[in-house]
Amino acid sequence: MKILKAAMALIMAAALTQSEVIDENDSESSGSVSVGYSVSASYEVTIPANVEFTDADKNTAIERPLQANNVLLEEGKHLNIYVKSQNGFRMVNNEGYIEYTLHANGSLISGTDNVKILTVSPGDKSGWVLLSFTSALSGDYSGFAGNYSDTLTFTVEMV
Amino acid sequence: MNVEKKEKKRKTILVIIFIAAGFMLGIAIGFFAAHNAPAKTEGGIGFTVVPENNLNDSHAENGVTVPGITSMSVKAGSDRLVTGFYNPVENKDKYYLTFQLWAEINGKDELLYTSGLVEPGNSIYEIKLNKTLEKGTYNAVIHIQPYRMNKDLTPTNNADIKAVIKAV
Repeated sequence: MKILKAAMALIMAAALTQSEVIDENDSESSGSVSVGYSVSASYEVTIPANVEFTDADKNTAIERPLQANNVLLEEGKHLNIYVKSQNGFRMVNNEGYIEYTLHANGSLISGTDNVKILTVSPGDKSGWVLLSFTSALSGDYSGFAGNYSDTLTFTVEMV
Repeated sequence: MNVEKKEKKRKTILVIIFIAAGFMLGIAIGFFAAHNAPAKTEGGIGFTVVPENNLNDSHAENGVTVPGITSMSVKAGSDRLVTGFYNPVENKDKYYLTFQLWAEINGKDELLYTSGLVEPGNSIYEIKLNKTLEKGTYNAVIHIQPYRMNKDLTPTNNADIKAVIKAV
């Protein structure tokens, strides 16, 4: 063990001596190197892909989470997420439409413009909001059989 | 004799239990299959009006994950732009993604790029723009449209990711 310690001390002393030689005698070696690393802001958002009502559960709220994960924002910036319905919260087909409601953490979302449903604050790495979908159909549908659909667009921006 | 009777009775009970278990397993499989039938809607929110004896639902539904990109760079005058477009592995076996890149140029929204289907785990490193950009910073939107990995490639709800393009 003593021999090992002595060897280590010798190696360190030699290295120190060597570095001093370079600093003192080689004036051409001085200079600066710019080292940089650019980290882009990024995130991932998981949106409800699909919600399907049927006659059997038309009055039952269907819940889906929307989540923001792996959030890396620029200093002082927020991540805002908005939702917009293509058909004004109506599931449509050629024969007619069936209305439905959307609540985000209990707040009713309506209209045809983007509505903010989630904000991720600076420093937070994730966020989520619970979306609740309910068909407005009561009783039997008097129209035609078929598929009635709507599409939601979720807009995400860092501000 | 008494022992033989007892043994026979035990075997009969075992057979009854076996048949009942098989019957219940069949019911469970049928119920599971009915509740995992594929959705029929074209968009993301749907209502299927069907005859009462043909009801189905698809509540066992997961979300689709989309990437957030905030900034892209391009050399002014070049039609090659380095992107960070990718389809997260969380979508494996479930969703393809497509990407459209829009930019506001002189107050007008212009489509700069449209991708094909991107499989989960894959990415697009560099794209060819429909037009070159002069030096400056442009507001952009990446429209991400997911598609189910089924025969019909059913589109789902989608996302618009706001970003900037820096032409330097």
